[in-house]
Amino acid sequence: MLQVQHITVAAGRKGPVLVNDVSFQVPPGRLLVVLGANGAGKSTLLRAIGGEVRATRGTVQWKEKTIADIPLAVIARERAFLGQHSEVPFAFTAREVVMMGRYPHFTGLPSSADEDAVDRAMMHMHIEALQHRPMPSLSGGERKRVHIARVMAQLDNGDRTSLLLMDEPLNDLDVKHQLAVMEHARAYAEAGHCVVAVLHDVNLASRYAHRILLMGHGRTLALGEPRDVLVPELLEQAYGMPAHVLPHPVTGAPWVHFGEGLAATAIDHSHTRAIAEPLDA
Amino acid sequence: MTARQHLILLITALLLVVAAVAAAAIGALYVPLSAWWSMITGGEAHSMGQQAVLWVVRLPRVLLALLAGAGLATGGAAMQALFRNPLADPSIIGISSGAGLLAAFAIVAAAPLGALLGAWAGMVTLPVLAFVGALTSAVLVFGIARDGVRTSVGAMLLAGIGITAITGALTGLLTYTASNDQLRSITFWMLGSLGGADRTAITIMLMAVPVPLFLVMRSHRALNALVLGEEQARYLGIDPERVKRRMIVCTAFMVGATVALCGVIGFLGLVVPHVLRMLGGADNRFLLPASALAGALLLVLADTIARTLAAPAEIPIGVITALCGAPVFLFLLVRRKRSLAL
Repeated sequence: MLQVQHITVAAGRKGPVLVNDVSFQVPPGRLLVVLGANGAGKSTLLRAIGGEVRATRGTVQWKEKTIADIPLAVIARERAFLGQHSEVPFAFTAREVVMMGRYPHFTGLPSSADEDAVDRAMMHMHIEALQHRPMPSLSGGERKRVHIARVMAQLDNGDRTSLLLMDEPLNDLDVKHQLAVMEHARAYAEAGHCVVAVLHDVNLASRYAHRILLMGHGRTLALGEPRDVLVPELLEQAYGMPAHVLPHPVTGAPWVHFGEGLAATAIDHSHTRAIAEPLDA
Repeated sequence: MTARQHLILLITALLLVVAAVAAAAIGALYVPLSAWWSMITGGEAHSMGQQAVLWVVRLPRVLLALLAGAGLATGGAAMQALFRNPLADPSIIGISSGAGLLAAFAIVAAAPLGALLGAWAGMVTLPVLAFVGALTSAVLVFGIARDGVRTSVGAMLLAGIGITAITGALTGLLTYTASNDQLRSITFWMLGSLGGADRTAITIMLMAVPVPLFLVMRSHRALNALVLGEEQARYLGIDPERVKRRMIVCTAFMVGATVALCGVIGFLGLVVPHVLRMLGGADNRFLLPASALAGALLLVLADTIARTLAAPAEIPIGVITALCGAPVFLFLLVRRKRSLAL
């Protein structure tokens, strides 16, 4: 269980407050998606949970312990962070980079279990064919998939409840791999782990999140299930754009459209509702 | 490690043994292997001269080249990993320039220092002061770049430039006030030489190089992880501050001792890891030991050339390493200009 209590982060001693009194919990089995406009404090919040950024106030607890007190080498076996940028300036191969995810798990040489975890992660991200290619020769999306596989390999640790933090994991990815990453994140959560992901795509959040934290100017605007958070008033407040929410014709989950044009357009809702209803029931 | 990496290590190690034996045999007085055998077995097939040359002159010199080359190249590989920059080398943290300043001071102020400390102390003043200069510069650079709990690698780079500028200017001032003889000594030291190889030098190097070398090699995983960035290394359970401290201290010892005893030997720390990375990949588990072996090999070869090419005169070894290393460096630069985004 991840417990975030009254986290406040300020930039420097007298700098602006980036995250203001945010609290939430993520029990095992749950995927929490953090949404909000640029500069809403999403990434800062995630990095405060990771311990990269020191919180001015508040605590982050992991399994009833203050997360900052757990030794780095210990927490690394059950917490991983997928950052937005990870340039690899040298010609490490994709496999070598994924293997770095196993560093917390072995000393000396990697065991066959470590090699297996690397194989599994690379298979999930469809990068087996790239494994001996040097990182600088890969495209942006391929590199991203290597890093996602590295994080997956790091947390491939059987039954031990783990915490996966992802900061905009879908950047640079094509549609197929965006869905693959979200499917994996949700499946990983449902296997009994805690997952927190910062996303920009509201509709993917709607489809995959168990719960959504909507942030604006460092504060919590809403926290709850997608159907309670993804409502026009809150979305307009968060993004400063007119928002329309329809039930998705197939899944019934909130389906969000942003923009002025749509507000004036009359949409025939009867058709979509008819399809959505059986799924709602 | 891949089969290719094992092969590179094996070949380099074999070449190193051959080069070391050849270097000990070749010179003004040839000491063939038959004479070695006779010395070991207590035979008669060698002269006293050969025995003296091998034990007193050649072997210490080869050993000094081995230790210095291994330290310089491994220090270079460690700095490149730490700064995440393939063009970094130990001089980047001010080690060479700091040692240079105090070495120049030791030469210019030799007479008063000798009078003050006595003849024996006067002899070791230069290496001791050069070593102090190397360590002080490294500590200064590290300290300036340190912001409370963290050390910015970018700030370290800039602090290195600043420290190098100050020490360079002061060295220039000393050079300006030096007599002709002193000037010659300073220049000779700045160009590097393994001519000072004796028992004292070997003892100092044995104290300063092998342990840091071992510690750097043992940190291969931490250095690999640092390539992902300090924050990602932290998430992999590695404390980046500890790694930085360890790498700076180890490099300052290895390179500081080398610069103190042999003067400035350029380009080895830059080019050797670079070329090995192109041959065998970037994994530091391979790169660090390979750099140690190849650095030792190249310095043994360079020193053999330095003392035989214009015998009985000796070419400064820094001239040879720079003349061989700089073109390789420029070639790499031209080829990789785009990917380095310069």
